[in-house]
Parts: sequence; C-alpha cells; structure tokens
Amino acid sequence: MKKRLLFNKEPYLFIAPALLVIFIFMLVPIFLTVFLSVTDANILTVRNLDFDFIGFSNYLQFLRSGIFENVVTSTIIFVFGSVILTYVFGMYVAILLNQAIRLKPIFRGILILPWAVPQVVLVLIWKWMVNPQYGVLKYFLVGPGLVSEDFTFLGNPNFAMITILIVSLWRSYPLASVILLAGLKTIPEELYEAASIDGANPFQKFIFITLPGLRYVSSVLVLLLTIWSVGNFVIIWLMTGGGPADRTAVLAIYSYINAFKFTKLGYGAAIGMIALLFSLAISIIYYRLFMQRQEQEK
Amino acid sequence: MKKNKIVSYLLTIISCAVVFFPFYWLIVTSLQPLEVLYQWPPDFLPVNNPITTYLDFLRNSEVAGWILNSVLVSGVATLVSTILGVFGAYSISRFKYRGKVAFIFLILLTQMMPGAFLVIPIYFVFAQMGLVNTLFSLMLIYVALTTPISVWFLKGFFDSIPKEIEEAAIIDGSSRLGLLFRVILPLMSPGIVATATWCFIISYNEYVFAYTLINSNKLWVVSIGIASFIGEYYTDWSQIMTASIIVTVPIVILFMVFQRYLVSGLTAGSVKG
Repeated sequence: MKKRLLFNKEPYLFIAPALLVIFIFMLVPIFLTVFLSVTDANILTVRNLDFDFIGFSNYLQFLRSGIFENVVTSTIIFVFGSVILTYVFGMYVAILLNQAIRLKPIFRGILILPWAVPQVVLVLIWKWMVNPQYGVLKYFLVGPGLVSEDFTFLGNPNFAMITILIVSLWRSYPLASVILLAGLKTIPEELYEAASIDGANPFQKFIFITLPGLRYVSSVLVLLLTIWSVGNFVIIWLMTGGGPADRTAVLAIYSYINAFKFTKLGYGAAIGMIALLFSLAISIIYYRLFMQRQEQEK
Repeated sequence: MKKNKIVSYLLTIISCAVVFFPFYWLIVTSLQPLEVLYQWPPDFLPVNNPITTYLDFLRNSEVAGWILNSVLVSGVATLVSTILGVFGAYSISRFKYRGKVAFIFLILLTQMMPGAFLVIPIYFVFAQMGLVNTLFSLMLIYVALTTPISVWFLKGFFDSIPKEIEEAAIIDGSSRLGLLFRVILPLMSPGIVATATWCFIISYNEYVFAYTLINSNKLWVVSIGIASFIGEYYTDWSQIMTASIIVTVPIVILFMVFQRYLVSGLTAGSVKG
C-alpha cells in the first residue's frame, strides 16, 4: 500500500482521550507534588488555599530529622529484600510450571492464586496468622520450641520486617512467575537437548542456558518489581502501620503518615518527592548497569 | 528419569501446599465460632456450615452495600478505561506518527507513580473541587489508574491481529471507524474481555485512594470495609475472614475464568520487548 504523505490526524484523535486522562491524573499531580513540597500546606486549611511558600524547609527538616536514616534504611531493606525474594521464588515456581507434568492447570491455578485475591484480604490473612495470641504461625514455631511462648512477630523490629517481606513475597511472586514462564517458553528446546548430549547437569543448564535466555525478561521484571516495591503501601500499612517504633516505616508509609495522620500535606509531599527521586535513581543506575549493555548487544 | 518425575511432583505439591495454606486458614477461620477461634492450640478444621454462615453474614452485615459500591465504581471505571484503551491502543498499534514513542513512554511512566504518593496531590485537587467523600472521585481515579494498563494490554492484542485484514477492508472502501468496529473489535473480543476484567480487578482491589478519599461508611467500598473490622483493642477475626471470603470469591472466579487471556495480555509487552 502507498504511504499517505498528508498529515494524518486520525491516530492523534484516537489516542487523545487516553493521553488526556494520563496527563491530568498522572503528570499534573507530579508537578503539584513538587509545588506542594515547598509549601506548608496543611490538610485542615488546604480547602481555603491557605498556605505559604517555605522553600526547601520541608526537605531540610526531613533530612535533618533523626528518622531520615531510619526510613531510608527500612526502604532499602524492604525494596531489595522483596525484589530478591520475589525474583528467586518466582523463578522457582516458573521452572516448576514449565515442566511436563500432569494436572498442570490445577497446579498453576493454585500457584498464582495470591495474585487474584485483593491485597487487603491477603494482608489481613497474614495479620491473623501472626496474631500474638492465637496466630497459627506462632503455633507452628512454638510447637518444636523454635520460639518462646511470649514471642510476637510484629512486636520485634527485625521479625516485623521479615514478616512483611514474606507477605510481600507471597503477594508478588505469582506475577514474576507468569512473566518468567512466558520467557522460559521462548528458549528453544534444542539448546537443552544439545547440552544434555554434552553431559551438562540441570544446574549447568540453568546457569548457561536458562539465565542468559531470560536476560531481557528478567531485567524488565526486576525494574518493575523495584519500582512497585518503592511505592508499596498496603502491606506495611495494614501489617504494622510503620511500627514498632517506626522501624518498618518506609518512605511511602512515612510520607502518607505525615500528610494524612499529622495533616502536614506539604511535608508529606516532600517525602514523596524524595521517594520518587529514589525510585528514579534506582531505575537510571539499573538501566546503565544492565539494560543499556544489552541493548547495545542486540 | 522416573526419579526426576517424582521429585518434580513432590516439589510442586509441597509448593502448592505452602502457597495455599493461608487460603485454607482463611476458609477455616471464617467457619469457626469465636470460642473455637480463640483457643490454644488452634483447631485446624472448619466447624460451621459454610452456606448458612456466608448467607447469614451477607444478610446481616453491611458487606453487601460495600460490594454494591465497589461494583458500581469499578464497573464505571472499567467501562470508561476500556473504551479509552481501545482507541489509544488502536492508534499505537496501527499507525506510524510523530510523537508515538513519547506517548508510549508516557504510558509506561505512569507505572512509576505509585498511589501512595499520587494520593497527596490528588487529595489537594479534589478537596478544592469538593470531590472528597464521593464515589465519583473514586471513579475518576480508577479510570486514571487503569487506562494506561488498558492501552498496554489492548496494544498487545491489536498487534496479534494481522494487518492484511484491515488493508483488504480499506480497499473495499470501509472507513477507519467502521473498520475498527465491524472488523477488528469482533476479532479481539477475548482480548477486550480480558482487559476489562483486569481493569475491574485493579479497581475492585484498590485501597489507598478509597481509604483516603472516602470517610462516611455508607460510601465504603470493599477494601476499606473489610479493613475497618480491625479495631485498636479488639478484632473479630472470624467476621473479617467471613467478609473476606464473600468479597474475594467473585473476583477469584472472574480471574480463573479469564486467567489464560490475562496472562497473555500481561506478558505480551514484557516478553516481546
């Protein structure tokens, strides 16, 4: 077919409504966050537009507050912990589901079930399972004498973070598995057959065929997981609310608490901006380290 | 060879058991009266009759109202974002034009803006407009949250339909829109249903905006309704779990029915690269 040389406005008209929605509700808010972060806007007075510009005071206040290091450390532990756990377990499940076994649809249905269930429900189930008095997980641990009777999962800062990481893993690995499984299917079977003939063991096949074959999928997946976990709110909010003693307060939680609990919308916005910059920085470093090289190789 | 197979099955079954246990516990807890629930060691078997328990709860609690609110909000949002998505995805998948790469980048960029941060400026704007504490505010937000995903999903489905079909129809003198509605959309109806399902699930499950924007409990949607059972000093876990089952089952059924399409929609973009 001959290419039309005239300016064609059809594609623009088709995509305009979707772009408009994204522009109004995603881009404008980013600029608004920047704007709010240099004001002392408070929820109680915000309806009358009653606030002043205070420059970078919000940022400085956060950076100088004793809790800054604490929040950043928790964020890093949560983000890296959940990305690594999710990727590893997601890969394990993807490999399980990629085998030629019977009843696969049933196994797959069960293994990706946590993906279908509302996040709030998932978190509440765990909150009940780690209940300090009647939690079933405590029962499993007290029985063989692994922990004492007065042990609480969420009362101890380290165990609170570990519990949160496990919930986060259970929530997000199905998506990782599904994406990795789709990637596994694109690796030609002949490679594995050839390796078998050469006497490679399953571990060697995994290292030298599977991992390189999944390079592109993995890099996209890890980037997405990282961005999502920087912004994850519901799990920590409902499990601990940031406690004990703010030890599980990641940037997303701390920003929200300040904006809506302590009504300091401007201060919350500044912390939100720091979280966004954090997420952006990770993405750029990550892109430089892994994805750029791959694109050059392509 | 035989031994490998057994190991495979064993690993799969153990993994399934571990992953499924919390759901089993959800079901068991929802079917235990409080005196069984609050005993040590815990009882591992359900006690109550599931059908009467769930029906009674549906009748005597506010959960039906929450479901109604959720379905209304998510339904409207899904309808709008699927329509926006069809046109947006058609544009990206079928035309070559200046600015397209930037548009695609913008759509992907939205994934970097999580709800917990977005909620601050959105609250600021909605407070000025008097939209706080209305279901309409949630509809707007859910359209915004699901439109990028809808465009991205549908682009994958459009890409899978050969261009020759359209070229033939254009030669036959069909208009672009006529072509889209009479020829292409019927071909990708599974893709549209999958996209709509996914948008619905995302809206139905959303928590942060609903929690922040809705105050009065008449307007509660499912996610905040269930979480509201958690009290500072006392929590009725049996109620929470019963309510959770009631609001989750429809979504899980929806998910399982369309599982295959959901997976293909989700992986189309990330795997092809």
